[in-house]
Amino acid sequence: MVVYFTTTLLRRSYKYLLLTFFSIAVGAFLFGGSISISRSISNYFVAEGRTIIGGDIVLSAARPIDTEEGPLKNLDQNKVTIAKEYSVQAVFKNINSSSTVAASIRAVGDDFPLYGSVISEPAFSLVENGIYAEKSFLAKINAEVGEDVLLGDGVFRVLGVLKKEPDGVSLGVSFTPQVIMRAKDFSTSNIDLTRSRSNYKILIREDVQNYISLSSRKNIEAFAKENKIRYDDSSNGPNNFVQGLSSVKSFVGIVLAISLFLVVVNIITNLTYVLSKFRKTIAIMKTFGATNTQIQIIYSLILGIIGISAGALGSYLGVVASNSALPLIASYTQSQINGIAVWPTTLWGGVICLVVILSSALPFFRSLGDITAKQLLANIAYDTKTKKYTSFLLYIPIPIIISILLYLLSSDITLVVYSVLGLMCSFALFMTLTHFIIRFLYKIRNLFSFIVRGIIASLSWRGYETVIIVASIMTAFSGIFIVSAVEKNILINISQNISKKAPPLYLIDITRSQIEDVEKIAGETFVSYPIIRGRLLRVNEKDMTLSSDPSITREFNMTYRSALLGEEKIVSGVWHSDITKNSISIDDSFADDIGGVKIGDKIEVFIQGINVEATVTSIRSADRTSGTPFFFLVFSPDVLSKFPASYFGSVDVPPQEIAKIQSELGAKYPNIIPIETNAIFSTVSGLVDNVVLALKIIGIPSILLGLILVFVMTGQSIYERRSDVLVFRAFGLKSRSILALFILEIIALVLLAGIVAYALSHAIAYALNSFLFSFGTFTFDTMPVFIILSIIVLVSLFALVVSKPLTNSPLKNLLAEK
Amino acid sequence: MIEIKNISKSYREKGEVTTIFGGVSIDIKSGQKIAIIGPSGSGKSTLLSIVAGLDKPTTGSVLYDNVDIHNMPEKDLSRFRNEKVGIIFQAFELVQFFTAYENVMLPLSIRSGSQGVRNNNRSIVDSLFLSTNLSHRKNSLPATLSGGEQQRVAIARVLASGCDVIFADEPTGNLDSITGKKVLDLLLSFVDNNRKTLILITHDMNIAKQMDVIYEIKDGQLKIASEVA
Repeated sequence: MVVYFTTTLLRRSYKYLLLTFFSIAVGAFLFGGSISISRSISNYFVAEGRTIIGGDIVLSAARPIDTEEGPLKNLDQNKVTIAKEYSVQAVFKNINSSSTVAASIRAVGDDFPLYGSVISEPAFSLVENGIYAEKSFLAKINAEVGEDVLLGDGVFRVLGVLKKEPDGVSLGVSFTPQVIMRAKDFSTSNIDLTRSRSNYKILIREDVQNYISLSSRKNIEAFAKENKIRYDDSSNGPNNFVQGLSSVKSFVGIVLAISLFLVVVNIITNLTYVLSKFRKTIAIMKTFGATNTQIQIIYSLILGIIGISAGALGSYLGVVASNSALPLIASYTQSQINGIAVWPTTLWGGVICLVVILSSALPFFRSLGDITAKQLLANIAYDTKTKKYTSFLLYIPIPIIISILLYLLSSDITLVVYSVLGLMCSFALFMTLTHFIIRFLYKIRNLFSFIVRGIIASLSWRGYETVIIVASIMTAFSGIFIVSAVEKNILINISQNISKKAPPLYLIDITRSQIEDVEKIAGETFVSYPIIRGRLLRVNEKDMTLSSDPSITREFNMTYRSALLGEEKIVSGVWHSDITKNSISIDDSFADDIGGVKIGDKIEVFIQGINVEATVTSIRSADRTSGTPFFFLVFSPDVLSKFPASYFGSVDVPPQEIAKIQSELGAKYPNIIPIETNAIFSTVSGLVDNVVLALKIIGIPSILLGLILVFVMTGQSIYERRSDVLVFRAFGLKSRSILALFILEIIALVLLAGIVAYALSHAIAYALNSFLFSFGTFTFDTMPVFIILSIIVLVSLFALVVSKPLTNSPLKNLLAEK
Repeated sequence: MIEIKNISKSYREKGEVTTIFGGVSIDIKSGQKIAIIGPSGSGKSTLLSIVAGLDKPTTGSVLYDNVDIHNMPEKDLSRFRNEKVGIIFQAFELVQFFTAYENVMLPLSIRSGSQGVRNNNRSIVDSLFLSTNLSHRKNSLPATLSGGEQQRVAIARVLASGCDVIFADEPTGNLDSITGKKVLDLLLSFVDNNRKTLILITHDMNIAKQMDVIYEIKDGQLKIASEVA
């Protein structure tokens, strides 16, 4: 009996469950794809970790690292290889012309590389005074392989074109092309490393496998943390990528939570429709002896078949799609990233979706139990809106299931808690908002025409169904709208800030002795700012080194001057001048970040081995969009002028003069790095564009699921109101008006959801603009408007098609004998 | 006022033609009360649907004041249904998401009009609620009304439209005998007091005997069963 009715009802009702099938498939696609990419990249890190970071353990810092200190000195030199290298920014010059190029120089030891190999043309083989350089380096300096170039006092031969370093992905983004040379050859340039922007590395290779135990690694890591040295372990992958991957996982997790939630809402809404369609059938079955349990088993099997098949299909497509996308990611990492096996994930996807659909259907199963023959066949009117409050308990498994799935993806319990709680809270907020809007409209409905009154009355009558669907669509829209609005504002402000206000050329790492000459070369628009690097130690008695916020414990660029800049304003206190001694002026937002600094507070910093204390005499605010260098801490000249400093300069000249300045400076002072601000903007905006595009693509499933939900709701609404439509027609309402009724109702719901999501997304973008980024310009994003309008057009067409048969349905169907 | 001229109705199913009835001709005078009786499946409701303009005959015509309603354009037919005829259904067919008040207002709302007209409509509806003893249920949704109350609302809805002809398709079919009698008495009192034409379908001879003319459909033919002089 169970098998017979399962197959029969499945054959009869499958078309009513198609939208459930699609929504599960979309959710499974996103889940399968996310798991696949995440696992593939994690596996890649595990398998290729050593090559990616350049060693089993890599330590890096802005100063030379002493291997005779701490746990490093305990390493047996017969069992490990310890390689040292450093990187520095410097300017090369063409011997035969005035062409120059700033480059990121990697000065390596004889053991380089410890893992992997350098890909170059011709094959990599570093010899004395030889360099390998990226193609862009050769293009900018107008040199060919085999030619000589100048670096400071040294002459270097270009041995080949550098294509790929084995640990290139862990080196991060650079604005200047890469060059590799031997560390011992760099000294011939006579460039003072202490005055240049340099980074030092210790790379450790285990020559005896597993020689460095876990506890030893922990000791080295602790030593590194204590001494503010960056620690990378091959078992985790490079820190920056791990952090980046973690951030992406977080965002994908949130989108996945929203999408899974929408899948559940789709399932519940669709099942409500199925229930109303098959209520009589079920009542008749019960009249002829079928038990509740049998009917629930039948529908469990039907839903199970749909869940497993849709889940498996979606997961399969997701894994296949992500495996296809891996080459794109791999091209960025310049490596081979292998995809995960398809079939295990496909099977798991089917099983997981089975659990999802059965959990979502708990209220449906309960409603099946509530159907009785008497209720239906005697045509007794009953209050359909009376719901027991305990029925809400049946929805509890849903957030639990979503949490479990999120944890499977991210393995981050904090993310899971925040995402699911955030989702529930925002959904509750949207539901409350929708409920009050509809209630308000219902109260004033008599002010409107018949069609609008009908729409409002219908929405109100459907009660929590309308509220849940509108709130779900708001949730679906909000995620993608927020990303879009924030991105738009970031890019607008960056382009405005950099293009309009920022000087076109910055100069970095100018030494004190070079200032006068640089001023002559750069011209009268040249402005310089002394920079001394140091760490924050104390604010009054509070030890700031114990802070868990890395943005407070890091090294800062500090400066000193006696004049206030044009874009700065004193918020409280008095600006120090040449007269005031031992003073410090602090940025207002930074003052808040470190716990609320007041006038008269003492701030102690650590600079080049010396503790320095000063008194806060002013709190200042600055226009961060002005393009001039911004400093959290500005000392009076007496405090820092005695310290060796490098200088940062800006030059505001027409574009055609920049090349000449760069060439002159490059020839005379190769340590000074010129950076054109347009290059920064194009690199940053390119990065932002790529990241946001990826995020938007990830967000598409949630929009798709919202769209499916609207389709489900439209179809259900039209089905439920079929007899009302006949009555309207019997009393003279034209078919066109009836079509307008349905279409306007759908448009009203989509608009309500869209407007709220649009307002929320821009409120968040505005808050981020004002309080986090301190951007001056706020702009409205048009992309969400296109999305809303497109959805309106699509659902209107759908409503038109679905309601056409109803408007043409014979009116005689209303009569007793048909 | 209503001329039914030689209408017939057939339908085709799997290549076979089935005739429900044929050669039906009736003249119905203004203010007349007519009952149509017949066994189940005889075509009573089909006949009503054709005369009420809900369905088209296979042959023949239905004229209201010399106008063939089945040759009207859709726009005119809609106006005809809104202004000239009203239908009371066995299953009440109230709009579930409208209150009782809004259901009664329905034909007037479809008609719309100026503010003055709307004010006048409200007073019409208010008086109907008084007449049907349903003023205390004005703001109730249909699901909370009893069967008798729903049918009274349905009657008020038809009367609110101000139509000349009322069609009632087994109006007491879903009600118990006591409630059904009350509803029928209410309907008949309105029809008599306002000189409406009533065409009523029933299988209950006791109800049919209260009409002016009883027609019987049997074996595809319509005949007068009895007539009150």
